Amino acid sequence: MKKLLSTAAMCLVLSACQSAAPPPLTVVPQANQGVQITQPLQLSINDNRSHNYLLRIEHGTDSAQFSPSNPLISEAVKGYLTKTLTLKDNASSSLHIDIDEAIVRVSQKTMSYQANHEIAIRTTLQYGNKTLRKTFSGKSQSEGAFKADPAVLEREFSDLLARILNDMLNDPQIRQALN
Amino acid sequence: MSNTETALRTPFGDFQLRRIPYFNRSTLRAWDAADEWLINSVAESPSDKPLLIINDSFASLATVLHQFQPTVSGDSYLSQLAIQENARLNQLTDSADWQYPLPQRTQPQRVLMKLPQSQALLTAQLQQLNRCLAPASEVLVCARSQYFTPKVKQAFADYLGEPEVSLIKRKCRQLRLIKTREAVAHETIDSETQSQWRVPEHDLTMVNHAGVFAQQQLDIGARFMLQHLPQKSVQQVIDLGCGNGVLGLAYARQHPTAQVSWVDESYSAIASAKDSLLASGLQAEPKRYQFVLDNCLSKQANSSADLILCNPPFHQENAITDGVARQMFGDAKRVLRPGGELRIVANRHLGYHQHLKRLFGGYRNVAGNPKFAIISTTRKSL
Repeated sequence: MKKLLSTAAMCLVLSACQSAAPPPLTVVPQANQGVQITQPLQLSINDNRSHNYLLRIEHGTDSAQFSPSNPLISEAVKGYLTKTLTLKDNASSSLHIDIDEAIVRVSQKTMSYQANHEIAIRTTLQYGNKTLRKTFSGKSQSEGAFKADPAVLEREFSDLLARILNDMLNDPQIRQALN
Repeated sequence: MSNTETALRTPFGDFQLRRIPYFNRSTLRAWDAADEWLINSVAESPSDKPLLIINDSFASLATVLHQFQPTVSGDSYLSQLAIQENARLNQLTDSADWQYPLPQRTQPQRVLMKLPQSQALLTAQLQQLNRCLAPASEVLVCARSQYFTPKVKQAFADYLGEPEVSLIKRKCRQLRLIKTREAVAHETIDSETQSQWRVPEHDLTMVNHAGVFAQQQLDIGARFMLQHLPQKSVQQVIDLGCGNGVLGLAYARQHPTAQVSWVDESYSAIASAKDSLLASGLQAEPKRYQFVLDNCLSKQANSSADLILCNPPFHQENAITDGVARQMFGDAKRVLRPGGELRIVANRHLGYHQHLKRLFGGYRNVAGNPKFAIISTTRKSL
C-alpha cells in the first residue's frame, strides 16, 4: 500500500512537471586549450536542420515537449571556433560548416528517462584551388532516475559538441590542408 | 544551541559567516553555491582591478574577498550590517566599503553580482551600472539557474553587454559579460523602475520604487488590513516592515495628530514610503513623520509606541522562514508601551496565532477571510 501511494504521488509530481515547457537548453562547448590554428580562415555556418528545437522530451508515444537551444547551435559552434581558429574576413582559405543534425531526444518514463544525443556536421574547407569535404558525427546516450535533469542534458550535449569540433580541428587531413 | 553551518573554506582561507539577523535555531547558512562559485572565479583569475559587489545579502563575498577592499552596494540595510558583523566575527581590519546608491562614476572595473529577487530592482541596478561602470568593465553574475529567465538575460544584454552563459553547476549558472553598451540618458529610465498608483478609498497616492512589494497595485493582504485598521486615535504609531508605507499612511490620514514612523530594512521601501507621503499631500514634518532604516526595531526605545502595524514577511531572501516575523514580534513586545497594540495581517496558514499567544499571553482575531487573518495582541500592563 505504501509503495502504491508513493508511486501514485510520484506520478502526480511528474505529470505536473509535464505541463510547463522546458527552458532553452544552454549549449557551451568548452574549447580545448591545446588546439589552436593560426592559418587565417573565413568561417561560415549553416544550420540545415528541419526542426528548430534542440531538445525533444517524449512522454510515451502521444505527447512531447520541445525546447530550443540558447544560444543557437550555429552561434555555439561559432563561439567555439572563434577561440581556436584565426578568423579573418579577407582570408584566402575558407571553412564552411553545415549542421545537418543536432538533437537531444529524451524518452521520459514515470520513474526514469533515457537521453540520446546526436550531432552531425559537414565541413567544406577551401584552400588554394582545392576543396576538402568531410563529415563528422557523434552520438551519446545516458539514462537516469526520475525526471531528466536539464543540467545533465546540457552538459552532455555540450561535451559531445566539443568532442566533435575537437575531432574536426584535429583531423589529419584538415590539419595538413591548413598547414 | 545553534545548528547553523558557519564555517566556509575558500581559496582565500577559512571564514566564519553568519546571517543578519541571526536566529539561533535557524539552519540557514549565510552563503550559497552561487557565492562559492563567484569566490572561486575570483581566485581563478586574480586581478588588481577595483572590485564592486552587488546584492551580497549576508556579506559572504565581502568578507571572503576583503583583501581586495571591495565596494559593496545593494538595497538591504541588513546586508550593510552583515559586513560589519562578519568582519568582526573574523577579526578583519580591512572590511568592505558600503555605498548606496552607487555614485555616477565608480572606480571598480570588476563587478560580482547576485541576482535580486525582483526584476524591477535588477533593471534599476543595471541602469545604475550602465551609467557608472567604465567601458570594458567585467561583470560576473551568479544565481540559481531557474532565475536566469530570458527576460533577465535580455536586461543584461540591454544595459551592459551580451552575456556568455555558463552550463549549470550545483544548480547555479553564471553569466560573464564585458560592459560594451553606451550609457543610457538619465531622464529616460526612471519610469521603467518606479510606479505610481492610487488608493482612492483612503485618498492616497502610492509611489513604489524598484523592488518594493506590490509594484503596480495594492496587495490583497494590505487591502484587507486597510479595512480593519484600529479606529482609536493614539500618539506613537509604527509601520513595521513598511514596504511602500500604505498602512502607516492610511492611519496618518485618518488620525492627523498621530506621530508615525515607517521602519524597513530596504532602502527602496523607505524611499517609497517618503515619496508616497509627499505624493499623498501629507506634509513632511520630521517631528511627526519619521522614516527609519533598521533591523526590525533595534533603534526604537523600549516602551515607546502605542500601536504597531505590521504585514510581516515569511521569507528571508529566497528561503521561507518565520524567523523575521518572530523577530518583529519580539521587538514589538519590547517597544510597545503597556497596553499598546500590535496588529498584523498574515496568511492564515502561517499560524502566527500561537506564537503571539506564547509571547504576549493572548491574541484576538480581528477579521479573517479564506486567505488572510488579521490578529491583534496587546502588551500587558505592568
